[in-house]
Formats: sequence, structure tokens, C-alpha cells
Amino acid sequence: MIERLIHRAALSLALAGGAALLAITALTVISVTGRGLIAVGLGPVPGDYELVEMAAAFAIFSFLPWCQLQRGHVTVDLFMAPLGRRANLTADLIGNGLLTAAAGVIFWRLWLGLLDRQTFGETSFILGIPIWIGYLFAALGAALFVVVSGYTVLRSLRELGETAAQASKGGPAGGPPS
Amino acid sequence: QDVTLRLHQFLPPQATVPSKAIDPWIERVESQSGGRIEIQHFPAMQLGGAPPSLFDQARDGVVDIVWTVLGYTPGRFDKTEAFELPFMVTSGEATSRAFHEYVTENALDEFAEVQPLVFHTHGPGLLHVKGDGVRSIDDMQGLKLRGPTRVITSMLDRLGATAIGMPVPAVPESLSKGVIDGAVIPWEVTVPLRVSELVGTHTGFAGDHGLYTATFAMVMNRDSYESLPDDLKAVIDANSGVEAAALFGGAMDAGDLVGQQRAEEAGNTIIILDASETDRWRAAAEPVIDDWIAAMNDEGADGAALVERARALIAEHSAQ
Amino acid sequence: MSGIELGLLAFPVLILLIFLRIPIGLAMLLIGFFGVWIITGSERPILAQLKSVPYDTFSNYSLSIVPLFLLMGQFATRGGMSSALFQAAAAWLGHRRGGIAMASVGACGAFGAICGSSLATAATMGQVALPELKRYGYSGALSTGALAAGGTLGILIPPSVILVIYAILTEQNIAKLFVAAFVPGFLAALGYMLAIAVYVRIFPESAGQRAPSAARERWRALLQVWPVLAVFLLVIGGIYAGWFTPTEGAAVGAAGTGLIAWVNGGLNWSGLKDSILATAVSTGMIFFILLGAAVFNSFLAFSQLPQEASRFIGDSGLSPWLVLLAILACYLIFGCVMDSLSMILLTIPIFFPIIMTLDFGMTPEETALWFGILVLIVVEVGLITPPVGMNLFVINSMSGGVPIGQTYRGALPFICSDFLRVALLVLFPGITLFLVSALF
Ligand code: NA
Ligand code: NA
Repeated sequence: MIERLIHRAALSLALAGGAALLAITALTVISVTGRGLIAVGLGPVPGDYELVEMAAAFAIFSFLPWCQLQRGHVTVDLFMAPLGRRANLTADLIGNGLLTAAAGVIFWRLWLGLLDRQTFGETSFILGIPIWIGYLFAALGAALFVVVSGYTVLRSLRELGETAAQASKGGPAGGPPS
Repeated sequence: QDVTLRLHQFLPPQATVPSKAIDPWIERVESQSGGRIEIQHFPAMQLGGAPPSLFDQARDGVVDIVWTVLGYTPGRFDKTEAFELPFMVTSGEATSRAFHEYVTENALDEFAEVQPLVFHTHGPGLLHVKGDGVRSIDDMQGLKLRGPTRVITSMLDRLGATAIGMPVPAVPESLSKGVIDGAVIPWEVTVPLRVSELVGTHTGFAGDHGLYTATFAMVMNRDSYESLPDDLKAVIDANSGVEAAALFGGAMDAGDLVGQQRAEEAGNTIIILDASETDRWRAAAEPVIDDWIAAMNDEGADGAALVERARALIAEHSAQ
Repeated sequence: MSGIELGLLAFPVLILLIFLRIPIGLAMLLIGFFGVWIITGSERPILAQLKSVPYDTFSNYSLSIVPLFLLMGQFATRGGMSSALFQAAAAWLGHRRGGIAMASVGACGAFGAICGSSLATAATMGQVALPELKRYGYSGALSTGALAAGGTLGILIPPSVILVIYAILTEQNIAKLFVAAFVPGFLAALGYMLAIAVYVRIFPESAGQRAPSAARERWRALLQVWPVLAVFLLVIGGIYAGWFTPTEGAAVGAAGTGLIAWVNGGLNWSGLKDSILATAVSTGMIFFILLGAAVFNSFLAFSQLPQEASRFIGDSGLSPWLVLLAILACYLIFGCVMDSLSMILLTIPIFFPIIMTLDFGMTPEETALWFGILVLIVVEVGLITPPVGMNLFVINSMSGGVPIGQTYRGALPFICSDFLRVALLVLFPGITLFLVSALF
């Protein structure tokens, strides 16, 4: 149940990030075309660079939970591989635990950064969009990153439990998790 | 030594201000402290973060001292923007003296959480454009120009140009590819960006006042300052203020001479618009100043008085 | 413990964490975090940094080229474009022993001519070439090694994000640097193909062979490349004609390949969804490492290790050539554990002034261009040197189960080829510089 909920949330946010990426693409094509047609009275989209930056930040933060859920972060398996499945799952558990802590710190600090930007009224260069709005969109991904990372800790625990149960039944063991 | 301070800024060490103002400033402080203060200079954002976060790095104590562009965080240092308005700046040195005095007098509330050391500006910014260049306000029609600040960008739009708000490092490539036709920057900045190799003309204005300037600050973390013994505080104090601002502004002026020399060596055309043409530009820029005054009034400050005070201080220091 | 000792200690600790299967970005983030904490004696500075560093890193305009090129790669693949490119190369080279691996390298080179990022080149061509290499019985080591190395052509053949950043940091002319990179980039592609030829001669069982294609077949395969060519010309032509900047070119390229993929029927709703999700995983992985590298680099700068190392080199009174070799060796060592972009950002402000004070018998500008290309190559070697080689990870993650150890081994012949090329370019600066003096 909770698994499906988390999967759906991470998937939706990743797709929303993808939509932002497509929006960047469209915006840039329109802006480039407009700039090429200044002679006939068109022009670039005002503030295109800062819009790209805000949208990119949203997209990338939104991709983090999905990446974590899909085990997308790079690890070096070379030296742990001979130690068997249980050792590797334990390493995963520790890694996911540390990642959850890091994600928590990232979200916590991002939120304080948002409050700073709000307090000082900083805006973007051309359009004058408050910077904290960019932080707010980013915070969505950062918050879900914490939740998903926490869930992957539980997932690692469960996998470790299953392996232990299998081992006690004399089932197949060994080899790192895929 | 007793104290080691970290100074963080965004330009490479060989750039004008780091090599001609910050390094000499560090030497002065170190020697006047009798070697009891050591300042480590970290150029080019080595300690991490993006340039707009420099000010907060000093405020939050990530480092002890930063040198930063106030315009990196538009909306945060509103009152300092008076000096960025069109046709305020004279020379870098005089305008820097005036700016330091202006901030100390009118805008210290915007710097309440740090120990201010130096407030300064660069020399007069001008237009650097490919092809025939800008000989009158009418030539601005349809030009794609990179604008430095929000104020100047809106002015460029009023003058009929298309303002493109791109980061400074993107300027050389965009110029060479024709993504933009020109840029609005002071001479000093044309040197590292090699703008003289990429454009053919440079357009300045008659009279004492340049088109615009940008504002900078060197500030120190409050706690780092407060924790100094009194005699070392005195050393920092002696190197803060109007004279230190003049050091920075003067370095900018010297850099401007180099930039102009490069343009002459490249065989570029340097156009100085005559007084009557300059007046047309001033008239066109007037609404930008009015808008700024109105925006300041909305925030409860007296915009007109601030502009007037800025002008008076610049006039006073330029006359000396 | 002094900052420098702490900086020196960080490298073995980093490697230990990585070997314990801690995600690499996380390992760098953790060491950077606690390193700054220890050096500054307080948790406040690093916590304050983190209020803005993640957002600043992810909203960086020049870095937004990365997801765009990844998306373009996805679209190109779904539109059959990178596969057409690969098939054309395979039709001409595939019948040789090791020919499909050579074709992969050739296709990477062609892709690198519009793509400024090694990771995007590796990811895009990996998607196409890995299944084919598997089909024809290539070993996991050779397949992943060839593609990881081929991916570096994305940086070596201009346009190149790294060169742009070098140009900005050192105040050099970007166009001249691009021209200077051209011949060395071409030599790189050639050298990788030679490495494959030698490798399959020593280990004949690591590569299969396919039947030679008929002449007509070859030309038809070449003809299939036209949509690729069209997008390439639009992007490259647009960048050189001044229609747009490289970053904008990435967006235009993504739009163009997306359009072609849609027309080809490869981009229905589920295709689009898959493209986005695949882009999401790679982007998340890369930017988490960029974030970790940002914090780790911040810590290294705080420790003053890079500064002291450069001072030590500068004061050692060694001959210019020895200093150059020492600096290049530093890059190779750092490149084993660090990300190339951050490495350049951290070290160029320190190493470049040292190089410019030394006399190599060239004008300052020539020295700067030549050094830039050498640095470009050695940091690119870092992308394929274990244990932290971004291209190795990207390709390995796409390989469907090749153990990372095999990928590490597979990269070795290409690292050797890189070493030989560096030696050649150090000994004969003319290889780098003659095209610049001919064109400017
Ligand atoms: Na390239
Ligand atoms: Na490496």
C-alpha cells in the first residue's frame, strides 16, 4: 500500500520534472526563433535564461526521488561483491540510511534558504520573480527525496530479513543484489 | 599570527580588483597588524557556492570576508541601486568615494548583519557593439544587447534595443556567434572577456557622466570582527571606509585605461556621442529613474531624496 | 591536525567509503561536510553553505545542458537516429575483428561533434551500441570499456563544455581553443580504434565478427543517417552561424530529435514517458554526484591542499617540463576519484598561473592553448579511470549486469591509448597548434 503510494508519488514528480524539461526545450526554441526574427518585430522571450534556471532546478530536484527509488545512484560493487548478499544488503542499508540523513539535511537547509530569500526579497534579474518561488518548487522534490530515501531504508531492512529467512531455510545465498 | 581570516570572491586572482585592490589591501592589513592577522585569499569561488551566495557566506560565517557584486541579488540592496541608475557615474574612484559615503549615510540598514568594509563601484559603463556601432539613439533599434543590471536592461528596452539577460561569462561566445550584437560593460571588463576582438565600435557619452555603473561591497562576518582584540579591530577599521573604496575604484579606473588601450590597438572605432545626442539618451532614460523613485517610495523610502543625495555626493567627490 | 593533513586523509577515506558500496555522490558529500566542519571548527559554516549550494548547483544555467542532452539522446534513440549512426559505422567497420567496437567509437566521435558532454555521448551511444555488441558476442569488458572511452570523445571533439569553462577561467579565446582541440580529438578516436585492434589481437575471444556488408548495403546504411545529419547540421550550423549558444543548441537538438522521433512513431505517450523516466534516473545520478563534488571541492579548498600542492610545485625549482608532468600527474591522480568539471574549477585558478610563469619556448597564448588541450585530455582520462570514472558508471549502469570490475579492466587499453596521446602532444606542441596558426 505505502509502497504503491510512494512509487506513484515519485513517478508523478519525475514526470512533472520531465514536463519542466520539455517546457525548457519549448521555451528555448521559441526564444531562439523570436531572436532570429527580430527584423519582423518578434523578439526573444524576456528572462529566458532565468526561467530555464528555475525550471531546471525544479526538474533536477524532482528527479532525485525517482532516481533513489530506482537504485540509480552509482556505487562501486567491485570489493563488496565477494562478501556475499548479506554483507551487500547491509552496506545498502547503511548507504540508504546515510542518504536519508543527507536528504534530510538538504531539505532542512533548502527550506531555511527559502526563508532567507523570502526575508531579503531577492528576485530574478529580468522578470523580477521572487527567488524563493524557485526554492519552493525545488523543496517539493527535496521533501519527497527524504521520504523516498526513508522508504529505501525500510526496503533494505525487508530485503535483509528475506535473505536471513532464506538462509535459515537453506535457500540460495550469495552474490550482490542486482 | 593570532588570527587567520578567509577572504572569498568570484574573480580569478589575476583579474583587476583581486590583483590591484584586494591583494594590496590584504598586504596593508597584514603589515599594519604586525603580522598578527593573516588573510587567506580564495579567488574564483574556490570555497564553493555561486556568486550570488557570497554575501550570505559572510553573513552566516562560512568565510570571514567576501567581495561581491550587490546587483547579484536584485531586490535585496534596493537603496544602493541609486548609483546604478543611468548617467550617475563619473570616474570609478570618485564615484566609489561617493558610494561608500552614501551607503554609510543612507543604506546601512541593508547591511545590518555584517561588518561593512568597503563599498565601491566600477568606472563608467559604455556600449560595445559589432558592425557600424551606435552613433545615435536611432541605431539602438533592433540591437540585441546584453544588459548588466535590471535597471539598465529596462532602459535598453525603452531605447528600442532587445535586452538579453545572460550571465557575463556567456558574453564572448554569444558575441562571436552573433547571439548578441553587443554588450553594455565598462572598459575594464572588456579585457578578460576579450570584447575588443569581437566588436568593432565602442560608444561613450559627452560630459562627465557615464551610462551606468555597478556596485560592489567587501564585507566581514560580524562575529569574526567582534572577536578581534581592539587593536586588530582598529587595523580593520583603518582599512575600511572612503579611502579603501577609492583604492578599489581607482583600480577599476586603471583597468578601464587598459581596456581602452586594447580597443585602440585592435583598430576599433571609439565613438563619443556629442552633448545634444547625449541629452536625447538622458531624456529617454528619465522614466527609468522615475520608476525607481516610485518603487522606493512604495517601500516607504524617499526615492527622490536618495537620488538627489547620490548625485550631490558624486558631484562633491568628482570635483576634488 | 592541519587542514592539509586532513585534505590528504580525505582521499583514502573517500576510497574506503566508495569501496564499501556507499553511493559516490554521498561519499563525497559526507567527507566534504565533516571535513569543512572539522577545519572551521564549527558546524555552522557548512550548514550555512548548504542553504544555497544544492539549489545553486541544480539551477546552474550551463549545467542545464546535461539533462537536455540526455533527453536528446533518449529521443534520438527512440527515433532510431543513434542506431542509424551506429549501423552505418558498423556496416563499414563491423566485419573486421573488433569492428563493432570500432564502429561504436566512430559513432561516438560523430555524436561528439554536436554534443559538448562526455556523459551524454556515452549514455546515448551506449544505449544503441551495447545491445549490438552483446549480440555479436563482445565481452562485457571490451563493450563497456570501448563505449566509456568513446564517450570521452564528446568532450575531446569540440564543442566541449570543459573547454568553454577553461577558456573563461583563463581568459582565452573559445574559438581558438575549439580549433586547437580538433586534431587531438581526431587522434583520440583513431587511437581508441587502434587500442581495440591491438586488444582483440591479444584476446581474440573477446570480440565476435559479423559478415561483411555488401557495398549497396553500406551506402544504404549511410543514407539512413540523414535525420541525424539534419539535426547535426541544424545544431552545429546553428551554433556556428550564431543562431544560438551551445546550451540553446542542446534544447533545439532535443526539440529536433523529439520531432523526428514523433514522426517516426517512436514517441507515443509511453515512449515519451520512458524517455523522461530514463532521463530522470541519469540526471538524478549525475547531479547528486555534482552536488557531492561541489561540497567535497569546497572542503579541499578549505584544507588548502590544492593551494599548497601548487606552491610546492612552483617553489621546487624543477624544469618547466617536469613541472608540467607533475601537474598532469596530479590531474591523473585526482581524476581517479574526482569529477572532471569540479577538478578544473578547483585547480585551473592555481595551476594556470604556474604554467604561465614557465618558459616552454612558445608565446603565452600558445602555451595557454596547448596546456588547455593537455588538461582537457587528462581530465577526460579521469572519466574512465577507476574507481571514480563517470563514463564507466554511466555505461556500466546501462550494460545490464556487467560487473563494474570488468568495466574497470575494459577501460585499461583506452587509458593506455590516452597516455600515448598525451605523450605525443606534450612532445610535439605543433600537433595542437598548427591548425590554430593556419586558421587565425
Ligand atoms: Na563535443
Ligand atoms: Na576517474
